[in-house]
Amino acid sequence: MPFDANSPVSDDALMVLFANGDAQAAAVLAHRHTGRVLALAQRMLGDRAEAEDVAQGALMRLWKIAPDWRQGEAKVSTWLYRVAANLCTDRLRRRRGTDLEGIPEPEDETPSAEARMMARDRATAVQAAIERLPERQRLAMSLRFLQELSNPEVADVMGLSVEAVESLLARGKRALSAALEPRRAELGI
Amino acid sequence: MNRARDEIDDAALEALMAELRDRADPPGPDLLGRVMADAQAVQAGFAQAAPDPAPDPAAWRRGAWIGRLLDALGGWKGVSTLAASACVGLVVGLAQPETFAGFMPALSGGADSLGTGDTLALFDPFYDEATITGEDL
Repeated sequence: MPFDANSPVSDDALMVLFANGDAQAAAVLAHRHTGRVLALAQRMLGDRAEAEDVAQGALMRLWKIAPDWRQGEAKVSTWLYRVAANLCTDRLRRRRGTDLEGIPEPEDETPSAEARMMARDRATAVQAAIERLPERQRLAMSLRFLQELSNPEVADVMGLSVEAVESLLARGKRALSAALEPRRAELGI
Repeated sequence: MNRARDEIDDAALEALMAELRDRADPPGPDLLGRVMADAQAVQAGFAQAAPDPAPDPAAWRRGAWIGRLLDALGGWKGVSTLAASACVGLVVGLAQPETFAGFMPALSGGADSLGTGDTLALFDPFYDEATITGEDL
């Protein structure tokens, strides 16, 4: 078993191998998926340490479910994104103590956020704008544009209809645009 | 040009997101090490919970032989039918002849029919008048 995230072995096959004790299968799965889950968690939480905890937690759940993994029913990546999104939601709820429906639309940028955007490059400004999105818009935008999932795949991860995802994406784009517009010329957008 | 406040178009937003995507920090060796340690611990649990995969050769041989026999007899259905037939044959063989001497006329409605009042005798292969009455026939 090549110790390589680019191994041609499918995720489903790797899960079976892992459940049967193949340590190399674990290594390939870990290298293939940890980065993706970490990136999503980082977009959602804005904190590297917490994002790493989420990534480790999501992979732990993957290891434990391996003996019961049914091939062909779901993609490992989709399943991991769903688990990571739920873990992020739990952490965000603990932070704020509010439910998803209670999250308000982003307010005008605070002076500290503006000062931060002044000092950072364009990518940092976009990251900051994403972090200010309402949670579900943030998740939809991260999955669609940062993890490059299709709309149906995003819908599958979030447990929503495709239409609901498209609505979240439309609102997320408008919110991002509104957040970045004041610095458009400066950031070269 | 006096640009009115306008939304950043989709193409520009997607370009910004692509730029951000390319800057994602990969997982460090510490995180990957923890993930792999978790995997090894979980796999160790699988090994402890699994039954002994090495079969008893004698049991395997018996199992294979029994499997072939079952197939020859038509599976469990055939075997159960055979067993039922064998039980009936055993009963017939062990019962007293008089048992069936009364049974057959009752079914055909003949003169020696036991009649409806003694229907229990029809179903009890060991029914024997002497046993019931204590007479030595």
